[in-house]
Amino acid sequence: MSFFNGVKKGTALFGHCITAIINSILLTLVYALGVGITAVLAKLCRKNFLDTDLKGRSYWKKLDLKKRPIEEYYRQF
Amino acid sequence: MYVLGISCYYHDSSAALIKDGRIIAAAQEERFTRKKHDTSFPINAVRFCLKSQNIDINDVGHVGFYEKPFIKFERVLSQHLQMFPRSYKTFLSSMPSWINEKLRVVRKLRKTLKYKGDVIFVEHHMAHAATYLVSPFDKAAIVTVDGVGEWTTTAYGVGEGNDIKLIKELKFPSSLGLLYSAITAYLGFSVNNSEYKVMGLSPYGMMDKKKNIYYRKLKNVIDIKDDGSFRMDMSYFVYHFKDRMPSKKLCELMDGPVRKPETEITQRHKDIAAALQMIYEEALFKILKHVHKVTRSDNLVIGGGCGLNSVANGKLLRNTPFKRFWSQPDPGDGGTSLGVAAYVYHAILRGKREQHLKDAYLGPGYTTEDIRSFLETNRIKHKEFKDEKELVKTTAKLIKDDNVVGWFQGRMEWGPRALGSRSILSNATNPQMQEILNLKVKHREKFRPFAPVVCEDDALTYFDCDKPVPEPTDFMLMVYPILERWRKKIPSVTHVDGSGRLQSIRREQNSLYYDLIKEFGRITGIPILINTSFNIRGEPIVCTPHDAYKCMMGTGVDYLVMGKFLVRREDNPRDMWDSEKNAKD
Repeated sequence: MSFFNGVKKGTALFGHCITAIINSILLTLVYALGVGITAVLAKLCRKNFLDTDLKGRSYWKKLDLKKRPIEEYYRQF
Repeated sequence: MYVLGISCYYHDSSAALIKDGRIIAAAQEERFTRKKHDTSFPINAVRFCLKSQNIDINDVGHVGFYEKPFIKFERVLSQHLQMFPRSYKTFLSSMPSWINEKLRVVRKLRKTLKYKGDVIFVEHHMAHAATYLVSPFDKAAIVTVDGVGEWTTTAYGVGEGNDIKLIKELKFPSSLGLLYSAITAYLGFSVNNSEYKVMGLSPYGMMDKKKNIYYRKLKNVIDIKDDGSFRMDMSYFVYHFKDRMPSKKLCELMDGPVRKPETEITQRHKDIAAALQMIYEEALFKILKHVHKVTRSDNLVIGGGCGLNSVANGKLLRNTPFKRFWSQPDPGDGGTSLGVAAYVYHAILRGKREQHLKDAYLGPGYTTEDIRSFLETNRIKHKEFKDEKELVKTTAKLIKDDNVVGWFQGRMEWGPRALGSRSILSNATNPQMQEILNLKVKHREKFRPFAPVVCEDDALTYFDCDKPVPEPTDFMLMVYPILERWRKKIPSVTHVDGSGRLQSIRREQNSLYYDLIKEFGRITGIPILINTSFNIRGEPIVCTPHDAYKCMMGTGVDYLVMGKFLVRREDNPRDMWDSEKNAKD
């Protein structure tokens, strides 16, 4: 019985390792091609994704968040 | 109608259930799984909420979730786009959880809970702001300050009747919460857990702005405008693209590397903690003054994790024009499940506002029969009190005799503080008690004092509180100076600056607890107890009789008063539980 439990655990561990390796390869491709190309293009267009400039009289931004029709809350965005 | 609120996948997962506008059950997942700040889907907390009403998920009309996951994901992607290629490692480590969990909330709900209805997604800071809906106010200014939600880190607006409007915001990466966390990390404490330790350390540092060099230095890190808006110089931080927080530049500015955990805390570390607390208060009070000017309301509701900064909270009514202040027992992310449920019921479905949340006793409770059965099944030697009067008199005497007493009564507290349901109580008048408690149970840093609990009608006799005593004091959210003449009489709860993070208790909230404190006052002359959470370091507060007994047997808690039963540690064989081995924090 302990032999089969060991085999089961070993197989699971092997599965986790393979998943981690494949995930890393796929995510590296996505990062290099998807994020990388977009980031380079954005830098060429001087697009900033984060507000980090220390300029201006106030940093408050308009939000205007209030109740909307319930259908809008069904969206995850 | 039932509305279920859920928060998870960041820190402090939780669930809350509302029935016809009344909050009837709420709990954090960590109490069930025994993993501190558990982030996982709060299946146990949801089950508890449903079981408390003998209903199943099909009886729930609406389920609310505490944020908009896709907007948060947009922010995460923006960080990677901005910081490419330096964000590679965090991209690899964070994306699997986004793909497998965080973007699949609906699927998880359907699969785990068999929930068939629609899910209502409410913005994170709106879930914090919705605290207003269970406040005593019909109109109030609302300020939310935390680490980060989707994009927002700070917001303000107005609550009126059933409506909340958030008018302005400050966005990631500038964040008072993240600034506090970054310095917490720099000082060698754990992020999203030990910020309160930095707050507790700050009075040991130089609290004079002119003399504290780190105050001047830290002012270079953050630009605070007169209207309270602020932005941070991100060259001092790396949290927007790494899994660390302070940058090398911040270490240079602070004259040394990140402190290693468990190493000596020097005066420099204390001064940095003091500088941070002063900057936090400066920014917060400027925000509040600006918000008062805009909203023209004297009532203030604060939401967000920064609402747990009880030192700043204790000063805010004296440093801003606001006259009344309210916050729920859990203003942090754990509290957003309650917020989102309230928002769905009151703001979206327009249900009548009837409840003002007056106490925190919303968690699991155990009947006398449950406790008796636990004790008898496990052959635990115990004594049964004949009535509450005997229970109160005996327990007060035990505390007077310097015993450490585990107090397990009624429903568990909602929020991070033990407020008289799952507390460890001891004698505040004994000068050695801080040392005794640390030796026997808590094993915590020497610089951290214990908290006092006092009946609300006695609070002004011993503490320099605002008048009337603000309700958040009942939830241990306010630190006030202890009046000079009492400081030497209650040394174990007096911090180095003479302050105390008190809990005030009203009889209508918890009569047994209230009577116990009064009885202790009758026999000692000072109606103040030490109240600390019933747990060992690094573990969540106990939830069940089993947790409580295990905690007592593994520590130096002398007696356990559980329901109407008294258990003495020395009467029962100790098991192999070793609290020191298990202390993880």
